Amino acid sequence: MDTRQQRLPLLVVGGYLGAGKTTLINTLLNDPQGQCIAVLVNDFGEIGIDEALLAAEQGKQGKQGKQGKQGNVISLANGCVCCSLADGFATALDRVRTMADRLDRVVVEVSGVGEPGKVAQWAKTPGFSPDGVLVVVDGSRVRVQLADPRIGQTVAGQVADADLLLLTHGDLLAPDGLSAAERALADLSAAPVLRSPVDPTLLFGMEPVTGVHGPVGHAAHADHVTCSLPLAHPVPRATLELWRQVRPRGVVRAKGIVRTSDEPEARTVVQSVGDSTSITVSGPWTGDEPGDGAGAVVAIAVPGTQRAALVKWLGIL
Amino acid sequence: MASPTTIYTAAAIHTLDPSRPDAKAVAVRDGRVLAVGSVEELQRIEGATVDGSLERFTLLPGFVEAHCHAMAGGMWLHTYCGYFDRQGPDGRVWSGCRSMDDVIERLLKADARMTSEGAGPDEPLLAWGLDPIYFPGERLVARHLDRVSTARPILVMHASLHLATVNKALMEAEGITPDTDMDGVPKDGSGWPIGELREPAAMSLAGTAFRKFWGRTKSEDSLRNFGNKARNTGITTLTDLGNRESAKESEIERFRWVVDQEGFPARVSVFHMPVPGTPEALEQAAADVVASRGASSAKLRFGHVKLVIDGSIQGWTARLRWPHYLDGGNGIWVVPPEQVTDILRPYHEAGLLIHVHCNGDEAVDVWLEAVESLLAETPRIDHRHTVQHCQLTSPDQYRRIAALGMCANLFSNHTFFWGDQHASSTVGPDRAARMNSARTALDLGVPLSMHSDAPVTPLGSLHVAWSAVNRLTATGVLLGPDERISVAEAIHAITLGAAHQLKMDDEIGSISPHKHADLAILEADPFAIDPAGLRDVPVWGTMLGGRLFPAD
Repeated sequence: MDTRQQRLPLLVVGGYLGAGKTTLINTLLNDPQGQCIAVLVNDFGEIGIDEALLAAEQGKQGKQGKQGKQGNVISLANGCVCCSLADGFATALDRVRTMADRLDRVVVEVSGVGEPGKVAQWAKTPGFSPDGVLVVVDGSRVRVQLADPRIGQTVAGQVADADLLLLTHGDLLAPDGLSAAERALADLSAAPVLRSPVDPTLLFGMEPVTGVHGPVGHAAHADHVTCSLPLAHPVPRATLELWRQVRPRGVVRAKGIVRTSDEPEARTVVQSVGDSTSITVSGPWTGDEPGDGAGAVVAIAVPGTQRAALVKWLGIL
Repeated sequence: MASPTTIYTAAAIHTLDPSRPDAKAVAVRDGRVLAVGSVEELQRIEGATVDGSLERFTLLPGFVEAHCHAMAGGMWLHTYCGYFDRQGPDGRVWSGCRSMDDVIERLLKADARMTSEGAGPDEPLLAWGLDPIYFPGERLVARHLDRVSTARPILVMHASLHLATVNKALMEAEGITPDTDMDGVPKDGSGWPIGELREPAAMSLAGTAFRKFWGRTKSEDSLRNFGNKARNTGITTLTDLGNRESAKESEIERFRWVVDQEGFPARVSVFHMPVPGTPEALEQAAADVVASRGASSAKLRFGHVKLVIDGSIQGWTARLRWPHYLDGGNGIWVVPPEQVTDILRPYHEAGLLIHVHCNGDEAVDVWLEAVESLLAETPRIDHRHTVQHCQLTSPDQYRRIAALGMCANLFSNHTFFWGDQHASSTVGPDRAARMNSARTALDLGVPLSMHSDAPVTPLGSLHVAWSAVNRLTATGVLLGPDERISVAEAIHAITLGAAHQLKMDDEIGSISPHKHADLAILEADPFAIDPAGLRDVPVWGTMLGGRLFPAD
């Protein structure tokens, strides 16, 4: 049984009021990469999720058997999922689970004061897999927000929870202002900082693809640096652990399906979302995996990252 | 021909009506108070019958609980294992579990009862109210619960509702194993989960038991328990303070089906809790709340609004002004502070009454700023917007509350249930002494009520009043003696004061001609006893709309 198919990737989108979470989600829905996305909305906001986008058929690159899937928005009946003690969020996720066969992924929008790290715990409940915590930050206001006695702690906590940071409203700032904002974020988080507008593919986990030979750069993300590597020989688990620890700065996402010499009959899935990396054993090795017999890995990094550093990193495996 | 009139005589009647504060008899016609006075005065009413069945009791206006939650009734569908003695809606007194062994003992009995009543081995045993704050150094884990049953799944919800403990049978049934990788699932040295599930994401792993725990609180039996518990404590008007579904037809029907039945012993005011959405969605929601008023009846009210903006003091999540908590931290916001005005604008403009949960004083500042903005934009007379909990409110804020035409509803029971912890751990003795400062509020002219927030503390207005009058902690420490109020002031707060904040003081809250014949029927006179015994005054039952409801 392929457990991956049954676990919906769950991306948490956090960030303070006005940072641009809803705009980002509308962007994702506008260009869903052929995927069917359930969005859980949990905020009092100026703008709504564009339901027309969600209702549209996402057939562009629809996988076989999944054509005609409908997007879904589930409005959460809670002001804040992280402090609702009853079963409101669990009920919303139950509804998503019942639609799982029609969905590719789930995006949860955390309220403007919500704690995205807490919400991300739900991605570890049955039926889901963590797809990262993206925190949207208003570059033009973040330094003022961090210094605000009422909300500073809230904003700082959100930034600290992030696997990936997305800086918005940079156009309102002079370049040195933007750098100052990035420095303020760097004090709180080691997560890579993306700048808006962002390529939606960066926000979703990638899959290593079959038939890749040798390290190849993709042109898909014009500004970003991508690298993938097929593996011919099983990798010791200890090497994976080392690999996890020496991730170069700027890696936005990495994903690998790897055969390890420790557990050659199992599929080991490595996944990096910005600041955090997980290694999980998930189902049996089937032989249908991408790569040259022992799996494959793919990584993508922010513009300006040395491609050689990415190649070297993947080369450890 | 006039409807029948019954004159009830009593040992004492405290009407809370300033023009006739004390009486010996009350005449009831068509469920309303026709007249109050001496027996001789009332006997002049033509065709009236004198009923002496209440003659040994003291009559007060039925108590009004302006901040509690309907799910309080549902908790009694689970096994109680809290620290303090507590009376269930059926009148049964559950003794407090004073040790972990008591908890196990309680659960063993519940398990045996379930088995004898034919519950299958898969049917989960659900319990509530465990408060480890009273068992320092001890921790309930699966190992303990496995002594109760290795077959039946068990879930013990802690009093905070932030934490549950489950047994091995439940973990096996729901697949909670060493592979379970979550912040809220602590493990022992060998890598096995110890049985604690922290915060809702982890708690949801308890699957069937978790869903049943909350599902039962939404049942009709839960509502009936809620009403029965009110009757047992002299309460005739309840609130469901914060119901996100309250403008939906199915929820309105659930309340109507239960509350409007003649045998249901209380009135209920159901407050709407705003659901996240765009300004347009909120406009529509406000219109829906206005429309939901049409479903109101003599016993059931819809059409007011409640918002929560911070957390709790005992959970270190309320938002406090500097110097914050003793540990230097501050709490959390539930909505962004600068958004409170925007969220509430449609409701204010629709003319609705708004109550906002503010435990900490920084949250109070935010709510008061919002009211100032809303009133500047859309002036309203007699809005009665209310600060709920209002626990750490300072005198400057009370002056502002009064100036804005607002009300305060204090969480007086905190002094007893967590006063010791507030003095030692959360805010220190000085601010603990000013928590729920009823004296200051009254002196500064703030319309006042006090509440239990059931199920957070037990439903029971006399205990709430006792706490404000005596300000004793659970260990007997007098906390903030200068903030004590008189019995008369406390009784006013749990009757007319609360009715005022619900905009029902034209029909309940005092024993006055025209108002509903809603009475708390007591076996002792709260004004004649030592105030230290106020919480122990036995309640015979209530009268609601002229009908007697003896307590169980």
